[in-house]
Amino acid sequence: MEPILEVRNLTKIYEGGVLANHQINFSVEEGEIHALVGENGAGKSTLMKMLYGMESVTSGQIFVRGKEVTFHSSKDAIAEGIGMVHQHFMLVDSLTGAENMMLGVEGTCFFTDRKGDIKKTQEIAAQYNFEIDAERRVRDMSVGMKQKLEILKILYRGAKILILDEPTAVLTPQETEELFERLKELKEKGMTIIFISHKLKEVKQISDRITILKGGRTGGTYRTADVTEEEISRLMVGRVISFDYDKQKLKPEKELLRVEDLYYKDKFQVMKLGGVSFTLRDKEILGVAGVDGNGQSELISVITAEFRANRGKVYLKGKDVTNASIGEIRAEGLSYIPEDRMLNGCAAPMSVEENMIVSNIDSFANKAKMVNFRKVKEHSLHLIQEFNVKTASEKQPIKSLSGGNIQKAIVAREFSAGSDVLILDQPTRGVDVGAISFIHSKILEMRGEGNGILLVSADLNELISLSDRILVMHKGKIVACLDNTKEKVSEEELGLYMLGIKTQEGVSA
Amino acid sequence: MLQFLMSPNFWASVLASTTPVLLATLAANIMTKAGLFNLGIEGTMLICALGGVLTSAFTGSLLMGALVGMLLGIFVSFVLGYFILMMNAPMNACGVAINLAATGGTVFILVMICGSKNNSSSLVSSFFPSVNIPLLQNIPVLGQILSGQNFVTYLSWIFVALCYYMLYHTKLGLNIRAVGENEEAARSAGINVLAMKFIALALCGVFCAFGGMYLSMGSMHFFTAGMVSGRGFLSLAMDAIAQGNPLIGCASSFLYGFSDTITVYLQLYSQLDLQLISAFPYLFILVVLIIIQFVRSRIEKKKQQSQI
Repeated sequence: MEPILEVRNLTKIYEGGVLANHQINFSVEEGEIHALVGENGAGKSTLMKMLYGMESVTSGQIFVRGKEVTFHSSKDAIAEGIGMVHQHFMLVDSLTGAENMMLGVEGTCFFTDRKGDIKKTQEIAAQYNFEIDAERRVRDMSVGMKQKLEILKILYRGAKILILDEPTAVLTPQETEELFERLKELKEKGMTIIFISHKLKEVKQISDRITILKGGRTGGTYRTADVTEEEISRLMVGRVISFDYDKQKLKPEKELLRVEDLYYKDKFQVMKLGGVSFTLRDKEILGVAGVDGNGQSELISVITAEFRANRGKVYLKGKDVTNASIGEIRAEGLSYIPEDRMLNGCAAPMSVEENMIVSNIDSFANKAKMVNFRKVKEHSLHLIQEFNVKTASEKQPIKSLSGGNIQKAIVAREFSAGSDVLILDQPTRGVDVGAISFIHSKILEMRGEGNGILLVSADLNELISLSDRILVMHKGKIVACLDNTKEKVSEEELGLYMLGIKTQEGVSA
Repeated sequence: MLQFLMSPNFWASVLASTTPVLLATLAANIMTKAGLFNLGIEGTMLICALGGVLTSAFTGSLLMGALVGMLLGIFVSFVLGYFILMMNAPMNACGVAINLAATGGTVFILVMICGSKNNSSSLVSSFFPSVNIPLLQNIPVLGQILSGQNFVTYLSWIFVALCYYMLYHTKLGLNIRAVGENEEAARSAGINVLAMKFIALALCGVFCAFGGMYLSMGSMHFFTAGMVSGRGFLSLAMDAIAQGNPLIGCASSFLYGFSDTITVYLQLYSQLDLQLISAFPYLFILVVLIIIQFVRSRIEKKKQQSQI
């Protein structure tokens, strides 16, 4: 049978040269539930956005029912019968379910037909066995109901291929169960569903076939019945590029950063950290692994004083800094490379030079707080050379540099600040291979100089090749602390802990 | 001392002084619903007030004056729209620019045409008539209050009703509200976001135009420099109370009309300091705003608590 949707050699390169998808091939049969799994940054979202006309295609072809299509906007995709439910719902909060349902649907009548719209909505809901309250305003609906409304909305617009982007991420287990029931019914009605997730249990439960994405490439398509969760996890996290560094054997002598029993709840009252404790010593790299959203970024934010812990303590070199300000912590000797370099890492429109001194500008100022720009220039030229930052001049706005060079400039700033504790959050995400190995060598150099480094990364290979110890986080808790010095931890083993399949008893770090 | 509260004349002038603010508030309402903030309402009103007077003076036709005033209102709103929607200029700065251009520009044109920096009384311009409503005018008290108002006053009431009906009972209104609240969602539902915003701007322009023309061709029969005197800005406060709902906007404008009129009467009948009295309407509105905001946050808190 001819596949309903087929993708051939699809490649996407973003402006700035980030390769998000490389030569992707996969096909979806009519009437199946096809899961698309992969780590964060594996290129799932990019692929889906291209299929839904939200991103342009760099090269390659998309076929719907054997016919080649090019989408200029979502409208074209909808016209081909493709509908997408986004992670963030596209609903207008103050309007009712029925009004959202009918929004933008071309009608002949100028006036709204409230009763008719409600009736139509209820009919469609009944037809697909979706329970929604058509008269209720969206802002008063539960997340589950909003999602059902979104699915109905795209069905009403004639979608035959449904793309669901991590639909269960926001649902309770009960709501998830119900969603799966409905999805199976839709499948029986002949709908084709593409289901994006990194929750393997759910993928195993609902899908017919699985396509694995890994680093922007397809890692193959499998029949769900033929593979186990462990196999999927291995295929998901296994890497092609490998780093092998010659690491000095060093013996830590003192403790630099200690975190005790940290709890943090976000604004939605979701427990993001549930009692995290560990110690970071000098001359060591402590890696933190975990599937995105399991508390790693919250942990970093609490340590770097961006968020306040609900309970627990943070000690920096023996001093309680739980409630210290960011400035105080930096003065105490902590440097931080944030995950989002354009948002938190640098001031994009300002020059390379200015960005390189922003966190320690005081050391270039005299008593009257006037900055000595000759010294600043010397310093930044030195850093540009030492860290091999490719820029036309130190006066160039930093945003005009490539991602890798921006990151090198930020690394240069933080590493030259003279701190002994370095917090690195995804230091090499979206950076080219050359810059990665350069930054890695600098990290190892800092370790050799006696600094303590906390390294959070989604790249398991990076963690394994750099870390002395690796903590694994799952659902806001540390589920394992693995020693990586004598023998390298395997990716498969890390994967099992990260996905919560395995847990270490009595973890102490 | 407050006997005047019982006189029909008092209430009739409350309705009269409500009219320009009511129209301006309606303009602000529709902007809020479309997700825009038009700081230039004041200036738009001023431009239309002058435009209407001049056109009617030169053509001798009230209809032409009103038509040109209206088109000017739409034009000025579209200029704002062009800058903020097509050129991505900051909304507030553009609004301020329109106000400044209007303040200086109207005086400039006034001097060029009438030779006076202050008013256009040298021109014979037409004005909107007062309308006596048959039957209603014969009812005592009520007739004195409601009948005999200016044509634009009645028009403004019709506008409120139409605007409310349009926003909540037509597809156009639904689309405008969707665009104003969640642009992304509206776009993904296939609504032409830009078109909706320009329609809202056009309506805003029409309301501003009648608000301005009421001042120069209704309550007064000539244009004076700076005659809008803050009513456009006040409408933004009224809209903040109404949060885009024309009916509440109407009620809050009435509140302004009331406090504005009471000021006039207090000046006549009380011993209070004049400066203090002229601050009264603004203080009054400030207090009302504070009370409303207080009640709102209370309700909000209760809602949150009940959810937990």
